[in-house]
Amino acid sequence: MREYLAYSLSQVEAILQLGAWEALSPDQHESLAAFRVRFSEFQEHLGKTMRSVAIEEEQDVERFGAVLAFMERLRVIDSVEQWKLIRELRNAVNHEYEDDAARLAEFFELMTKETPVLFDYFDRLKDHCTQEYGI
Amino acid sequence: MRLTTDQVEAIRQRIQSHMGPKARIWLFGSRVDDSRRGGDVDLYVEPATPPGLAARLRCKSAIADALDLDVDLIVQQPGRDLPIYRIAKHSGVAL
Repeated sequence: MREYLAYSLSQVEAILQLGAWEALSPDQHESLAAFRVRFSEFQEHLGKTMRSVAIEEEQDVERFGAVLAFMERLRVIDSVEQWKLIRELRNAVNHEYEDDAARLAEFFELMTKETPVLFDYFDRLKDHCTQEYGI
Repeated sequence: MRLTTDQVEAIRQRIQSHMGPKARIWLFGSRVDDSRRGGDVDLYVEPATPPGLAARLRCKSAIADALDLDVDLIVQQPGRDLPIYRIAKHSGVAL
């Protein structure tokens, strides 16, 4: 999943460099769509994995905010607010996706900026699991 | 309107913090109907200075956290006149 998202990220970064949002080809639109889906899935799965780790460590998981606070304490995420921004971005890009070129560029610029953050959080969570559970 | 004074103040503070003190705010949707129960908090904002996407998303998240309710935040985009803007202002309550 990570490799596919990394590939989509490279494709979208190339589109962003062109800056031709008014005249995207069908292939470019497909690359954007793939990136949007992969970004969303990766964020969702990472969130679920965080929750699983919190359950394993007998933390309160009734509210996802408690899971995030625990992840912040473990230094898996930099801040609860940062994670919430990424989550809001995922929700917004799926609900507010539109053809307006300026809006589209704004969404994808922020997603390309936040994708390395997701990768970093993934690595930290993986390191935590390796260290604590030997997996 | 089904919001308390404290909830309205929490909304105002967060919107002004992210979109400037001159931002104008309307509550619309089910929360203006006293006969209904529950529901999202639908907000429409006309900012003095358009916020970036990240500021808009942070603002929405901050309001949802403060109210512990689902929030739908629509921010007027410069140079656009969408029907939802008129609906929100016409049917809504200025906060």
